[in-house]
Amino acid sequence: MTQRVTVVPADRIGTINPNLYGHFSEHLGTCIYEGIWVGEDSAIPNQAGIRLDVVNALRRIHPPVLRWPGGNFADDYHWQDGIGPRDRRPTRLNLWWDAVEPNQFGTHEFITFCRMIGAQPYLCGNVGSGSPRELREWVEYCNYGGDTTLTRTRAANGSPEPFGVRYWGVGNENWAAGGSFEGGDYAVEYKRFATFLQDIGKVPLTLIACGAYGSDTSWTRSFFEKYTRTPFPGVPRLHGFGVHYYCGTAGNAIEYTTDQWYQLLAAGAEIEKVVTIQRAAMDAYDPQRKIGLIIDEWGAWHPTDEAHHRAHLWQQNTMRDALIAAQTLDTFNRHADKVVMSNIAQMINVLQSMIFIRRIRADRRCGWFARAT
Amino acid sequence: MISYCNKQGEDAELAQLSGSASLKGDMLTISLVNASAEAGCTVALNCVGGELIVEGAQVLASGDIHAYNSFDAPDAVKPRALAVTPVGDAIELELPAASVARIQAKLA
Repeated sequence: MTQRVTVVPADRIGTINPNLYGHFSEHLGTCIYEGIWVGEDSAIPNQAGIRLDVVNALRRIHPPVLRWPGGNFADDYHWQDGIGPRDRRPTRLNLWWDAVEPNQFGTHEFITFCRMIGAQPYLCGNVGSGSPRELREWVEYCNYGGDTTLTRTRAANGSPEPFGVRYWGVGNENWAAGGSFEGGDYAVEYKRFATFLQDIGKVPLTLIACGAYGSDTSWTRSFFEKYTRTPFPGVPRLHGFGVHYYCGTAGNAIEYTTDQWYQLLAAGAEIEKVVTIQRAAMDAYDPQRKIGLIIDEWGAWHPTDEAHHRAHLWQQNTMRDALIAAQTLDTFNRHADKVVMSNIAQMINVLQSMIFIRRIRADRRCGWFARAT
Repeated sequence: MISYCNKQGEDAELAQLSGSASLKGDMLTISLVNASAEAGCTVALNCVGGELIVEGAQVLASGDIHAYNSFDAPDAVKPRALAVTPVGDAIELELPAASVARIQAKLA
């Protein structure tokens, strides 16, 4: 049977924001270390410690925006740990992903990587275990052009010029690993933090609140009830509401029946319902649609195979995942009047990733080699 | 619609064909997904207000729904050209089972 498709160019939904095709990278498994950062002394070809095979592979797909450093990691991360001479940075416990965090890849290294691949940085701040001061100082460190102790430190660390970071997340999954808040309580925190996030540099900030998971509108309603209850409407500012949705698995990453193929594609197609329900819930509080809907984590989530560490979330992606990605991005295109950004989870080696790294022990003295596919 | 058995063992349905259309300058990009694991799909595509002049069409598909690229088989799955046939003001194409396609066309 022939399926008929009619395109009506005059019936325009909106302008597709290039950020709909964005990415996400967390200090998790081998996404950052090995995936992006190998260090300047590595035998793997690199520029300033960042591996060039990965950079070259990513440049071909023009990533518009990259969210970092988490994920769960973000609300246990203190940005001051990741600046200054690398041999003097502290070693911390990566609480969520069973690893030791060497802090070799910090703000400067992330900005360098973003510039190499042509992506806008999207920094996710720490609300759960951080403070408004800590996040406000990260903004000053990154964006302020004047002369302060923080900007002198930035210059001493190699960047006299501000980074001009536009996108700032005020916490991540604050209903769970970001502090186990109830929506209204998080709104209070959001307003407190966002009050101190001001346009102090040439680049105006885009402030993104932690949104709900999937189709859950109780978080959305309780957040906006409290957010909008303020003496001055629209103050402090809010530009984006970051919902997360993972369609999970059916069977496993590479073994599935025909029914399981459909089960996962159907779960992936649920993103349409997630977007429709969340935007309707937002419309009740923001009828002029000034606040964008963002899906800053999405994708398939399969069980890790026995060859990989369970907490490192490595998974092989197949044709099934390719179709999930395509139907998800099509959905975002169809909601271009409301959805302003999305970030697939994650960029390298983790969950529904674009790139895998292979370790090849070519020569003991030469160390590890790898390439991106 | 495709009928299948959901995780609860119940009958369920899923749309076979989905996609989106976008316009940049005078170039129309149409992306289509054929969700069927088993059946190809003939698509007749037309555009209100003009004739479609196809500039390019690619499809990502495999004979095996479990196919994936690996370091041992890096090109097991890769996009290939998709044949498109003009039929009057419309175009026709055959989407293979389990495929993603992109058609780029100008409006005449």
